[in-house]
Amino acid sequence: MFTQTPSAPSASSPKPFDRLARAASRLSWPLPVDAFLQLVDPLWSSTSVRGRVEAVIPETARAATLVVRPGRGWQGHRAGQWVGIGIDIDGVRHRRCYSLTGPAERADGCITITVQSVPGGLVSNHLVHRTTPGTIVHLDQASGDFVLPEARTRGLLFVTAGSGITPVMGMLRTLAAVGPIEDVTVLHFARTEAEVIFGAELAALADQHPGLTVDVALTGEAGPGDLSARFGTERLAARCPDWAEREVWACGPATLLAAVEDHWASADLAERLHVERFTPLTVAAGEPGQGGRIRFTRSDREIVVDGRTTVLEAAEQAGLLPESGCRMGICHTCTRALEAGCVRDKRDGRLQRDAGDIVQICVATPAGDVEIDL
Amino acid sequence: MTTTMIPSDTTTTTTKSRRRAATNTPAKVTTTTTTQEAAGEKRRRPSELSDAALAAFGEAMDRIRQEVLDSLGDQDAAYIRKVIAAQRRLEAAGRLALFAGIFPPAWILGTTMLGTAKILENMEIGHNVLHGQWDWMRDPDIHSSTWEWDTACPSDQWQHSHNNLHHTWTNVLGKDRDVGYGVLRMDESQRWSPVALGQPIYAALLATFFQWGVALHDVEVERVLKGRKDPAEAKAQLLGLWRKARKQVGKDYVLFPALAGPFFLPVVAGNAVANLARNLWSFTIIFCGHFPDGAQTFTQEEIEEEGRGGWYVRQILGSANLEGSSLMHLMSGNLSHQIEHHAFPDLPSNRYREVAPRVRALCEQYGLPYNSGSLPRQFGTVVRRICRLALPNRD
Repeated sequence: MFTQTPSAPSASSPKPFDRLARAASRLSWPLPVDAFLQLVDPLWSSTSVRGRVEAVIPETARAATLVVRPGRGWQGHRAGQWVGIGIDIDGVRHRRCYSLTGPAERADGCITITVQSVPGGLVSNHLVHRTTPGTIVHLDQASGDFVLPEARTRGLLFVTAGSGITPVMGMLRTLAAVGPIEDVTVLHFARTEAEVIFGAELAALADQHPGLTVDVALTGEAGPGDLSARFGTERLAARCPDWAEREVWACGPATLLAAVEDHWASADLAERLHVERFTPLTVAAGEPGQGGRIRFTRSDREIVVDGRTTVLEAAEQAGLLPESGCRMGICHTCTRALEAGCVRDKRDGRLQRDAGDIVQICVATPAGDVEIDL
Repeated sequence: MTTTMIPSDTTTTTTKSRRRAATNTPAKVTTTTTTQEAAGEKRRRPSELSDAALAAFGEAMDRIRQEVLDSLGDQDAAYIRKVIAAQRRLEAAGRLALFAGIFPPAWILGTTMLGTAKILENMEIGHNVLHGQWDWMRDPDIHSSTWEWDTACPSDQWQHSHNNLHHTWTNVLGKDRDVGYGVLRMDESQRWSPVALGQPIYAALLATFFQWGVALHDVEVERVLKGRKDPAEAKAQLLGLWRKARKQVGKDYVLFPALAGPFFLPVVAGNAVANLARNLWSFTIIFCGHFPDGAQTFTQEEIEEEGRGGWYVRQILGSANLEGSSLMHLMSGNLSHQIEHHAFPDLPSNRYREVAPRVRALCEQYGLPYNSGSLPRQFGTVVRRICRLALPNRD
């Protein structure tokens, strides 16, 4: 579904700097020259991208926007893409991916991510409630192909729920930055008025741009709530009668995306639909892997974990630093060879048990004892 | 909490080394001491603790380790980053000062700063990072899998010879190659030959060129010569060493001097003295870790069937601590807490100081000797041992 898309080039050619850095690294050896540059400015880096949190702006009671100034090496992003971000909590580096919510080119050169805290979520709560300006974060390059096509800016429909509005906000801000928005509809679902992220800005955008229709449906606090306010054929037909002619971007919880995918598939219009998921699809409850002892053969470490812990999480708990990207089975940055044992893909329950199988360790959970080339 | 109280076995220790000294061969099962025979033991063991006491001791040590692991956080991360930042500033400032090294005060200042930076880099930072003490932070810039340090020995070879061999087989004769580094006779049970007569000189040379001794350590030249190691493996290691060493030498003795232009000589001299200071200091600290009087060695028979508790006991009996100021602890990379480091090699070094009293109390409770003394005292006994063992054992 997803492939790595080349990011928009925004930085000018960094060649002289790189050449100088290479020469200087002969002197800083065995450390990279970054080690000394960062004593002067923590954002200077020739090998990885760092960012400094400039502001944390509350959006709702449990969501906040982080304005981040990316350091050297940031290659820009396209509206709708996400970024992998590493942050230290209690001394430990944690990595998560968040949608970029700012326009592709902000005047101040900063990027923004908007995070909604998840109950019990270590990283999301830390980012929303406990992050202060000045914090240094570690960035990957922007990634993902949930983006606006270059040519098409009208006849668009966005179906979003909850924090699913975040990548779409980046697209709307980008559209608004280049001219009047024409013929764009947003169907957004949230539980309560207070939980609508960017509520005021969406209303203001709709006021300024007659071509933009924003329809926010409130589904209620808990339980089934107002069923008529949920995504459904009637509601779609009422609020966006020409939905079948539109190019569609949908982002939100798995239930919404399942309903949207069913709807467009049954209308035989699945190719019009672009979907962004924040969590991997998982198998029905009651079918977890059984867990086991994972042996990382290359680094000679072992750890015993339950069947809900991914091999990637287990490796990190064991103190290893495997490469990873999206952490949800999309980008294939983290793939490793299975040497022995059996792993279960937590998205679909698929088992891999042949030595040499390439495993996406961010979605693979152990089904019994496992050996991984890591 | 266990209540086992066992009398100290320090006296047994002395007996043991004397006995081995007398036989001039590795201690064998036949040299079993009478006390252990009385206890019904067939095999000599490093301590007289019963299996149950050993297990309880091991659990108590495990608990200390786990408590520290559970409490790691922001302050620890801030500590290592602060040390790293200070070390880099010191190094940069030292090298800059040496460019003005034609003026003696600048030369002295620059050399002191650079030498201090090199010691910090090797001891408190490099050695401990390569142990994985900071892996829990998951910071790829401060991680045992990515770190390379400012010494000739490539970090991967060091991790094999040091983390794997030395820390697993601490002070086990014939296994732990840190016992004398394959050059010095450090235990009565090691065979004497006339070659040993020169070992005070070999020790001085080893101290002077310590980084090169460490670098060649994992190549295991003596095992290749005896046909116990594949020469091809040694050759590959030498190649890795050469690749790293030429950059090390190139940086200190070609690049930086060249940048000083006509004033290259003071830079060469400053870098050489800084490296020498680092060599002498790290030799001193490391030899104080396992060879002062009272630190024990073990035979392979003694550690058969050694459990977790027995492993802890051996680490403690084979190591020795240094007492001194905070600065001494820092400059020794906290190897002044060698006992705690050997018991918990992957706990962050800044925590050894706080667990040391607890380890010491446990040792007292179980009647285990806890070898601790000032640097002059400990190093004095090391020098004495090197000189004494240059001569054959006295009957």
